[in-house]
Order: sequence, then C-alpha cells, then structure tokens
Amino acid sequence: MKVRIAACSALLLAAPGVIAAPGQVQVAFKIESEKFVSGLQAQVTDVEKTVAGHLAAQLQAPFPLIEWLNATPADAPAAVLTARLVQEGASVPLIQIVWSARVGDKDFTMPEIDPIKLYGPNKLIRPYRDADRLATDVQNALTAWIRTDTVERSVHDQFVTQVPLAVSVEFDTPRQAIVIPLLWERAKVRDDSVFLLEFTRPAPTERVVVRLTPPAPRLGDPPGATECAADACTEGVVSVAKDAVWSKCVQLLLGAERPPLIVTVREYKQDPHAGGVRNGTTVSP
Amino acid sequence: MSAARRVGSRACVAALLLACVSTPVALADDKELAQAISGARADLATGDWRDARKELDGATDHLKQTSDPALYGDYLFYSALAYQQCSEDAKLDGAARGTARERAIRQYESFLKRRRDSGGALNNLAQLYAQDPQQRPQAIKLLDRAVQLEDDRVSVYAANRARILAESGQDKQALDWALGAVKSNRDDAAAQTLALELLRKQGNVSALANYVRELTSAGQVKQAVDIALTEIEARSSGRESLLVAVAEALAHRGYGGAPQRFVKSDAGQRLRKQEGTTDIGPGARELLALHEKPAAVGNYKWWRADFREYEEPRPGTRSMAFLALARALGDRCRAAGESGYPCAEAYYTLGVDFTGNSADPTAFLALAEILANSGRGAELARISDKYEKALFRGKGGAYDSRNKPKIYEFHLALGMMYGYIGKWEDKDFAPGGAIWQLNRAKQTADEYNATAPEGSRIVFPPQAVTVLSDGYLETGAVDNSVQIRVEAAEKYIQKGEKAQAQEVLDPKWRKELPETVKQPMRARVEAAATAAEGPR
Repeated sequence: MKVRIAACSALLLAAPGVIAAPGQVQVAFKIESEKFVSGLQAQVTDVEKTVAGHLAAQLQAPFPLIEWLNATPADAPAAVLTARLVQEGASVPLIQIVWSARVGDKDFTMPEIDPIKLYGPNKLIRPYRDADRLATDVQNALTAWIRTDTVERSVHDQFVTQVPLAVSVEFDTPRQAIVIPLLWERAKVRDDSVFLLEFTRPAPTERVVVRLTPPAPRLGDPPGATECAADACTEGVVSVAKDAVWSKCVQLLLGAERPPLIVTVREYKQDPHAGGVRNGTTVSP
Repeated sequence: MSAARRVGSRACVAALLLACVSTPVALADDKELAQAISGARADLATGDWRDARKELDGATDHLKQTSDPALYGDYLFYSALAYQQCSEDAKLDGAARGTARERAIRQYESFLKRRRDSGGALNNLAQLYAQDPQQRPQAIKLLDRAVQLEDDRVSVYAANRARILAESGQDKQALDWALGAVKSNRDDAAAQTLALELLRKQGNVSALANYVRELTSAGQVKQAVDIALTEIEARSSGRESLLVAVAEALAHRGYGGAPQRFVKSDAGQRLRKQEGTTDIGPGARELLALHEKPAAVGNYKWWRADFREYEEPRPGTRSMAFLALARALGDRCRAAGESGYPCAEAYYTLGVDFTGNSADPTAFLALAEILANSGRGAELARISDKYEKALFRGKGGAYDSRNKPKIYEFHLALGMMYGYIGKWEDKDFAPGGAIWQLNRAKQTADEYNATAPEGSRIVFPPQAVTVLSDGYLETGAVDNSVQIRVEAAEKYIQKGEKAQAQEVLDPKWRKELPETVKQPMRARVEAAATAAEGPR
C-alpha cells in the first residue's frame, strides 16, 4: 500500500480574538422599512428568521467552502452578511434589499453588490401587513439574485474573498505542502482555485502573503482536507523568488514564535461534481 | 501525477513515513483494503491509473478476506475505472488498450449486478460500450437508466448521451439532450460546451440567439453576453439577433452597477470593436452611447428601426430589447437613491419618448414616482402636461388592439399621474382626472378578470384604491370615498388577500372617518376591518 500519512508537524495558531469560528458566516435579514415594520409588527422577527434561513441555504450552493449560518453560532463567526429591507421615498416608496457586511470587528462596504429592487413603481401591491407574502417575495427575489452569474461574481469578489476560512494550517514540511482545514468534498474546490495565507512578520514588521495553489484533496492526515503548494509569496510589496517561497515565507510559521495567520480564498472556482467526474467518466459509483 | 503530489517527491513521502510513524499500528484487513481503495480513487481522480492499479493489485489478499460487500463492490468499481482509464491511454498500444477495455467492461457489469442503481457505473460502462458503434444502443440504454436516477450527475449522463447521438449523426436529438443537460446543471461546463458546439454545427443563428436568451432567463447573464459576443466575433453576417440578445442580457436585473461601467468592461470593449461593421456597427455604437449617457430618442435609429407605432411590441425585436434596457438602466441609477435620480430620470424619459406617440406607461410611472417622491410637484405637472396626450394616444392604441392588460396599464398610469398632482377631476374633459382614470382602470381589471385564467388576473392595487378614495374625499364625494375602500376590502377578503384589505382600511383612516358617514356604512367598514384582521 502506498503511504499517504505525511502530516508530521502540525501548527495550530491563534487567530485574532474576534474570529473564533473561521469559515462560518452568519447571515441575517433585517426589516428596516418603516412601512413593513409598522405593518407586520410582531411578525417582523418571524420573517427575518425565515428569510435568513433561506438566504443561508441559497448561498451555500455557490459557495460551499463557507458554512452559511442563519443563527449566531456559539463562537464569533468569521463574518456577518446582512441583507436589509429598506424603503426610499414617501408616496410610493421604492422597497429594496441592500447589503452590509462585517468581518471580525470591521464593517465594510460592498459597492459592487447592487441593491435588489423588490417593489418599484410598477409593483404597487406591497404586502405591508402580510408576513407570508413578504417572506415569499423576498425569498423569490433572493433566489433569482444569487442564481445570477454576475451577482455570484460580485459576492465572490466583494465578500467571499474577505472571509477568514482558517486561522491555522498544517505543514507537510518534507513535501512542502500546506494543509488547510477545509473539507475538500464539501467545499467542492476546483484545482485552479487560489487561496491566500496571510500573516505579519515580526521584526521588521511586514505583511506576508503566501499564494496557495493548486489545491488538491489531502490524502493523508487529516483526511479529506485541502492541500496546497506554496506557489508565490510577497513580503510587503516585494515578491519573493519562487524557489525561496518555503524557506523565506513559510519557514516563518514553523519557528517557536509563530505569528497568527489567516487563510482566505483569492479565487474560488467550484467543481460542480466535487472531483467526481473526469472527461465524462465518473470517479465514484 | 496529481497536483498535490507534485509538491514533493515520492522519496520525500517515504522518508516522512519513516520519520513520522514511530509506532506502527497493526491495521485490520478491511482497513488496509479501504485505504487502498481510497488511494486508488484519489489517483483515478487525477487520471493516474498506474498508481491506482498498483494500489488495488497490492490489496488483492485483503480483498479475498473481506466479508464487507460494500467494500468488495467499491474495489470492483475502482478496478474497473483503472482499466477504463488504461484503455483510454493513448501511449499504450491498441492490444493493451483493448484488453483493458474488456476487463473494465467485465468488472463494471459485475459491479452492476451488485449495485443496479449506480449512476457512475452505468455511465462509465456506457462510455466503454459507446466506443464500439455496434454497442451504442446498449450504451444509450444504460445512460437512460442513469438519467432516470435523477442524481446530482444527471447532466453528465445526459451530455454523454448527447455525445453518443452526435457521433451517430443524430444531431437534432443530440442537441435536445445537450440542452437538457445544460438546463439540469447550469454549472456543467462540459454540457455547455457540447450544446454550443452542436448549435454552431447546426448553423442556425436564431437558435444560438435563443440559447443566449435561455441563459439570460436562467440568470447566466455574464455568460450569455460572452457567448453572444463570441458568436458575433466569429461571424460576418446574420448577427442582428445576437446583438439583440446581448441587449436583452444587459437589461437583466443581475447586470448591476452604474451604466457607465459597462463601457469600460471587457464586454463593452469587445462591443466597441464592432462599431465599424456595416451590419451591426450602428447598433453597437448606440448601445455603448446609451450606457455612457442617455440622449434624445433620435440618436437610436438602429434600435428603433423595427418599432411600429400602435403595434404590439414583439419579443426578440430591437425596439423591445432597447426599451427594456433603457428602463433597466433607469432602475440601476434609481437603486443608488437620491443621488441617482437625475440619471434615472434621463433613462426613464428616454423610455417614455422611445415609444413616440404612445408614451411607455411603465417608464412614465417610474419617472412620475421619482418626481412625486422628491416633492417636485411643478416638474411632475410639467411632465404630466407633456406626456398626457401621448399616454392618451397609447391608451387609444391599446383600445384599438383590444389589449385589456395594456388598456389597464394606461388607465392606471394616467390615474396615478393625476393623483400625484392632485388633479382629481376635470369638469371639461372627464378623462383628464384621477377619479375617472382609476375607475376605468378598475373597471377594465374587472372585465379582464371575468374571463382571465387564475394566476394571470389583474389585481387593482391598494395604492390605487386609496388614491381614488382620497380623490373622492377631496371632491366632496365622502360616501364614494368610503364605499370604494369597503368594496375593495371586501373583494380582497373574498380572495383571501386580507393584508391588502387591511391596507385600504387603514386604522388611521377609519379613526378619522368624516362625521357625515352614516351608521350602516360605518358598521360595514368595521365588519370588513374585523374580517381583515381575522386569521388567514
């Protein structure tokens, strides 16, 4: 039997305190439109919960590398994505869904993610008092929204790439491989996806970014994880020579004084069959 | 060799094992077998059939001893797959490949006796059969069985079936299956490629444009634009329908962002290269100019060429695509809030003007709503004055064509417009007031609904009911003002639309009912309000 166990030196690093649950994103839906708040009253919370659950499920399909949650997890999530139902205008207000996000303890804007128009001037029937109808309308709009390739791309570029997926990795030093605790099959990672490992090098302080690609399924321990090569590295603005990436960049994480690190995805490409199909032939029964 | 394993040599792995595994653990036979299968699977996922073969051959003793049928089955499957990949290895001679193919077939058949409903085995065996033209019918049967399983690889089975049909010269059926594969999994790139290949082979540009439209409908707007542009670039004639399909995709709500951004995008730049062509050059130029800044309607001659006054706009025409795009660009500006109002107004105005003598009611209502929301009564009055006749003409056209939903739209737009500016009635010209127009809208909706199928019926919206009620109140027709709300509420309740009933029977309005309202009417209002509050 071929030997595949290779994880010899494991390194567990503390993440910045605010990210206790890397890879988990809490999804929220907030009704802020005055018309709906006053019309729905006590039912506001129910609609918010229902829609948040739906949105989390919708986001899971295109981005399975993240665990999209519709409730606050026990540990602080890596990020929070909030859809807000707002109104604008007085006589026949425009009702739309706008977005806001938070990673760790930092709020950030996503200018490329456009609001979703829910009720415009040509949709005069607005269910101000009908919780079920509103929930259905919002869910339908969100479903169509996330299934649009341009939207998917914007969510990827503006949000998904910001989410810390891991705050620890394992190093397979002899093979110069880095193992991300991301379940390969669940995450449906295609082998041209790119991950980034970032940390701050002490003395002299410099931001180090290691480009991790190509990803592949981890064959040894931990089983089912995602394994990458350290493909490139920059220290501040300086690119490190390709053959020195491991010795100059990754090596900094193998010493006694290990700086906290964060793994994010730079370019996520989904394999719709999770590696299960090759040239029309399936690789599992 | 897999990408992962390129990161280190096998020597390194071996050395690592010696260094790391200080206490060898005695593994049960089944565990060894499972590990061999797992290793082979990983090898086969990257096409490394040689290593997979070694893994599997090295575990034959464990296989003989296992009593686990699932494990035995898995071994058979992966062994068959290793032979299959071997049979497809172009570096081997024909005889070796033929032998491997036979072995793969035998093992898949054996596996399928154990697991009849294995989509993977059915699919892979079909692939092997399909290599022999005589065995293609068998391959098709296997793929049909696989498709019927409806598992998450159904697009793979359908695309493979399409490929076999195409290889047998049955292009039309092949295309149907390929399109079905795309429909079942929009992310299946192989199915997409096959469908496009077959469409191109067919040489029917309209079919290609329809394919682009289907992608747009499914939300793949970026891909739709990309494919349409690729096809435009590959052809020198017959490209009009493709450019129209581009405009339709650009009008999709998923194509967000400021309109100007499109000009600088890759797609915009590709379109720019078509500006000099004689067939669609003017269309490309006008499309880019529209995104840069909306201009007067006379600047869009190419797109307006197929517009026919007083004719129903037909899907797939230049004018219909362009009008939808102008409205969509207005919506995109509008989504930015008040800062986007000037930009939105310009696009909506273009939309209203685009239909010439008949004024597009949808764009008009959007424009009026912005002006009403921003409290610009004078401008609202100005545009009402400017477009009033055009809206009336459009309404006349809708009456001529007896298109009741369109007639309703025009009455509603006119009624809401008059309502926004507080012009409730016109003593000299009855249709020139909100009350008359909204009553006609309501009447038209009732007439249409009498014969319209469920689901396509027009719902007279609560906003229109309240505007009409306000109009009656302002003109002293207090009883009518109350009655219109109660009747509407009772209808909503009857249809189970209690929330809408609650909206027209707003508590504040009920509290402030004029004293002149008689007791029976008050009782009717309260009864309706109680029914509206009841359980749904």
